Amino acid sequence: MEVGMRINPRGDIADRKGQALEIMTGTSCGNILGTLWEKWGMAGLAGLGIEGEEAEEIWKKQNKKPQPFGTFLKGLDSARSQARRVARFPTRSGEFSGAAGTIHDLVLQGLLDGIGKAERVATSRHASIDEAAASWAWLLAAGRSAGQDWHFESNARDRAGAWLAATKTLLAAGESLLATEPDEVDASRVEWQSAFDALRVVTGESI
Amino acid sequence: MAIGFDALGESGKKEASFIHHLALSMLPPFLPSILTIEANWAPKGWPEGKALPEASAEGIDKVIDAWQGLTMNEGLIAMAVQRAVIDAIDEGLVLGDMWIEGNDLDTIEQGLADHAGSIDERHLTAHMLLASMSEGPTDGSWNENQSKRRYR
Repeated sequence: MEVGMRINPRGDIADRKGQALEIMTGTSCGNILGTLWEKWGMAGLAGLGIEGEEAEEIWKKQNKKPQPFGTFLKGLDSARSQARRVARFPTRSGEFSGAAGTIHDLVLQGLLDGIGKAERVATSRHASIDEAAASWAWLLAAGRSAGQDWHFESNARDRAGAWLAATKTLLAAGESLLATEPDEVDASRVEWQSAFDALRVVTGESI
Repeated sequence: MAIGFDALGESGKKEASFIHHLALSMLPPFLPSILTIEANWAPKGWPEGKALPEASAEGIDKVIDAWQGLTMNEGLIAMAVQRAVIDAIDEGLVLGDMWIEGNDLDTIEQGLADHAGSIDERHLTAHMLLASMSEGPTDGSWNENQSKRRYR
């Protein structure tokens, strides 16, 4: 049976008998947006002229880590710029496991969120030798290894040495992908993907 | 005799209600046997000449019965009548005490004028409401998780 929907001032939704959408008196736009975002956020962004991968990145980020919509909208320009940068990459952070996945995520984080954030992640406690080695490989490739070796066991540093060249290639491909002209993005994406595939081979994680 | 809801809403708790005065002065006759009370209310924007859903009249009758039966606080009559009508509406978009068809962005945005938020928030809200009205907010695909989300 079809039912209507009511949004109350707290932003909670409930079914209603009459098949209409009801926004109760006193419900702020922020609470309406919060309630509707998951299902109609993409349509809302399209209404603002933001579409495609860029819109998806912005929608996902707000869905995953919601911030007040006033703040969200004020930061939309920078969010759009960041979303465009993220959308250039054919792969996403968190998509891959293992050492290659760790290096991939550090490279992406360093390029998209800033090298300082990635460095903090790289020098934090590691769950395995492979993760430590991956972090050390990224620190070496990014030129951020000075004075950090005490975080890493020698066998992790040794293993990282074998991954360094492929990590550097991936980092260079990422930098190139961000810097390239829009009409050359496709070629740069292929380079990125090839670099990542090569990294997976040297880390022994290639399928 | 016509009585405005505003006047009813103004009667304080300490004041004896109008209906009590009326009823007490007429006891023992049962009020509905000597008078008929009719109440009407439609949301702002409801098209003139368009009949409200039948359920709204039933809801209003219940409220008036309760008023005459001295079981409902007089100060709540207006709100209860409005609630009965709004609950019965089975199409379009209800924004507070206003009704709109919900198929036009500008009208939705204007309808949100009384809802707190910046101009940008109102604009985005209007776009999303328009999308929800186009796709149909009543397709039953909402789930409990969505009702528990918070974006503050």
